[in-house]
Amino acid sequence: MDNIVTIRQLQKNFGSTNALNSINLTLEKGKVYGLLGPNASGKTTLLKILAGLISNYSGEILIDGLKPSTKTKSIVAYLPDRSDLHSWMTVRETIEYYQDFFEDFDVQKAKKTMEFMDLNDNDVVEKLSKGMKARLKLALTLARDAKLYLLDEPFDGIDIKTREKLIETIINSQRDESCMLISTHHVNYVEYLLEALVFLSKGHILLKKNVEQLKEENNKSIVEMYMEVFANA
Amino acid sequence: MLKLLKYELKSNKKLLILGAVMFFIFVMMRIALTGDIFGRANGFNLVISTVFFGGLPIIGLVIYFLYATYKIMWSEFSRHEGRVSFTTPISGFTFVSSKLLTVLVFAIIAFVIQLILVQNIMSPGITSNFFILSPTSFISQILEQVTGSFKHILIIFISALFTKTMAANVKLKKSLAFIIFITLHIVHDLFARVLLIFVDAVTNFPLFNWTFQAGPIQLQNLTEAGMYFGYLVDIILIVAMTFLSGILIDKKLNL
Repeated sequence: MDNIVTIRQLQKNFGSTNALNSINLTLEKGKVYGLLGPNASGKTTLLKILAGLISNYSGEILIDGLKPSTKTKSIVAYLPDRSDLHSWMTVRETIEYYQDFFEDFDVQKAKKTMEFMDLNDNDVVEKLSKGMKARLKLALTLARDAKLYLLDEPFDGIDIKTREKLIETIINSQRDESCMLISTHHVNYVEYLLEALVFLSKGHILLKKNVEQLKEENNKSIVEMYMEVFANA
Repeated sequence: MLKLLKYELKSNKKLLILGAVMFFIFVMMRIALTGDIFGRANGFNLVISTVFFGGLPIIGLVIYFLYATYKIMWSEFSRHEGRVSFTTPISGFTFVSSKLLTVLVFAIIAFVIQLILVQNIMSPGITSNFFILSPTSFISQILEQVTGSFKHILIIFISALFTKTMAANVKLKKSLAFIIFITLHIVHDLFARVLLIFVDAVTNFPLFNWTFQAGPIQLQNLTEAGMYFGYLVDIILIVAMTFLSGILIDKKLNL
């Protein structure tokens, strides 16, 4: 399979703190990856670097053969862990905003997803609850026909009903030519979504394997594997 | 860039409305005030009219412009909100340019209101005629104000931008930004002085014998040429600083 992301010797420090330490990683097209690890393991930093929000790092990154730049931003759809939308906009205006700046944005898909997620066009972003904001962000991100989706903690602060809707939307959005990297510490929510796992701890990759292979080798669920790997991390 | 400009203006629509309201109030006031109703020609109420129709509104106008500039230039950096802009395929140069164009709109609003206040309301002996600048003077004054303020805005912006880019992980990043700000200002002042000496030398250098042969009109033309050369250099500086800000955002962003 083709690689959509190639990372070699990626290093990122925040002052004296080592956020990412000599990371080597490849992500293939058509797969859903789980980026799992406890808090402060470097998950968000890695996603921010791939999304182009952090450009100050050492090492090499290629996204679809290109270094992270303005060009790669047009093929990467990023869902941040916090709301980064303009709070003064209405839901309709956020759709227009995405339509204006992302050529791969599918308005019809966005509207359909918003309807499915009970979002109203005239609601102002600022007035939306945390759950509704999460729905909106996900609907906007997944309405793009991107090559790489980066979802950072998509289930944080989300109730069960909303979570089920979000997972359904993610499943419906996965395509053969795109890759999805989901960062979360809610392992149990995403267990049946994932095809491959990347375990990250203190800036190091502890493990990267296909889910099927892992289950065959260890005869354990992802949650059990997670508990085992991070027990000593 | 136009799309970004559209969203910048939309996000600052409350401030735009405030500017329009101020403009409307002062124009209405000017229309209502004909003749020397404050007795300013005789020195009566000079202090009151200067304070209430000059000083205070101008201070208000300065605060309005500074707040609008801060909000436009720094909103995406001061909060998480609006950071979606940095995930869009827009270059840093386009991002900063659209911000500066939005500031330009506010600079024009502030300048026009200031013109109404100073030239039409504060001055003694208000006639029934509005004082309106000729298009050349208007453009020249706008250029002067905009180039002057934009250089300082960009010096402050670049210094602050270091805290979100190259110096994002440095402990004393704010102190470092302040040192960069002071250094850039010193460099700018030195550059401006050298430029002034250069323009002065060119217009007065005996070898060229311009001032000998030139009559008063030609001399005025030379002074004007020097002034426009100064604007041109300022514009080049502004474009260069916009590029530098763009490069910092594209290559060294650290949010």
